[in-house]
Amino acid sequence: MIAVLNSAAVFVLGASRQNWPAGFWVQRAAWIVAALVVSAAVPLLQYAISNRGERARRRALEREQRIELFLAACLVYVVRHAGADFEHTGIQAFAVRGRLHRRQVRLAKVRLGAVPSSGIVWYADKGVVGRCWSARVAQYEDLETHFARYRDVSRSEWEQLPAAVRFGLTYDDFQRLKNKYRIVAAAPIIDRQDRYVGCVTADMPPGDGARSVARAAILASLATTAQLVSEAMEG
Amino acid sequence: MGKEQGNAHGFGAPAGSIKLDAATVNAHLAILRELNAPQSAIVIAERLAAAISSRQSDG
Repeated sequence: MIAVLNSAAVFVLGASRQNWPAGFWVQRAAWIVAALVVSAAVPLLQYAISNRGERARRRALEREQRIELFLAACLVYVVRHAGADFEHTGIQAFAVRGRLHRRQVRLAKVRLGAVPSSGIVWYADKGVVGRCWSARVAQYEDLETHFARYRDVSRSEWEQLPAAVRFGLTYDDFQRLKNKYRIVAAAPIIDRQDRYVGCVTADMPPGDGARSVARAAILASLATTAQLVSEAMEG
Repeated sequence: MGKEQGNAHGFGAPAGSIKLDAATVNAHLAILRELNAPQSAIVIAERLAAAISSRQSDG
């Protein structure tokens, strides 16, 4: 829009200076003044918009860095106080996004080891994070144990299982996740208006390192971190 | 109830059914200091620690 206005103003100024079409501009001095004003104002407007965008990006970056730090503190806490494995434990923050297709998207993640994203879209009721969303209550699940008896079921057998047993996962979701997690815990992020705005999660892959973690300490740390992240999101 | 408690101290409602305790919040604050977190993050954690201490002393 600004570029179109600027182009029009430049065209008006150029055409009037060349007196093209001949005599056309004699009665249209107001057009020329308006074009002058527009061509002078456009660079200022562009600067203001760019500056505002830059400030918003900087604030968003600072907010994201604060959230990452809170997640890092949570990781350190669960390693020290809950016996979690430093290398493989992941701490993540999710936020609810979208108007029609509301889903939870990852805001930030802290994990030393590299684990690829599952690519699953986390709607309400899907996975532990979805259950946290719909219940607005902290969750703690040993998924390796829960899914042990379903590891080799067929697609049709999987689809006949109750949604609560499947954690709302499709067969394809399950194939992607079944070897990925042992423990998944989540605490809701509730804003000052008492709305659910996301969650903070801790996850640990299958293996001996996740067997003896202290559930209460993990949930206490996640709840603390959820409150800190809630404040960081509002700030 | 959670909302009232939270707003009275300037924080949102407690996360889920978990009651925050001052020891856990203070441990997170100490870790943030160890990590050389910026003052803006420390301030948020200090405010939460103060709010939790106040809630606990309120009974």
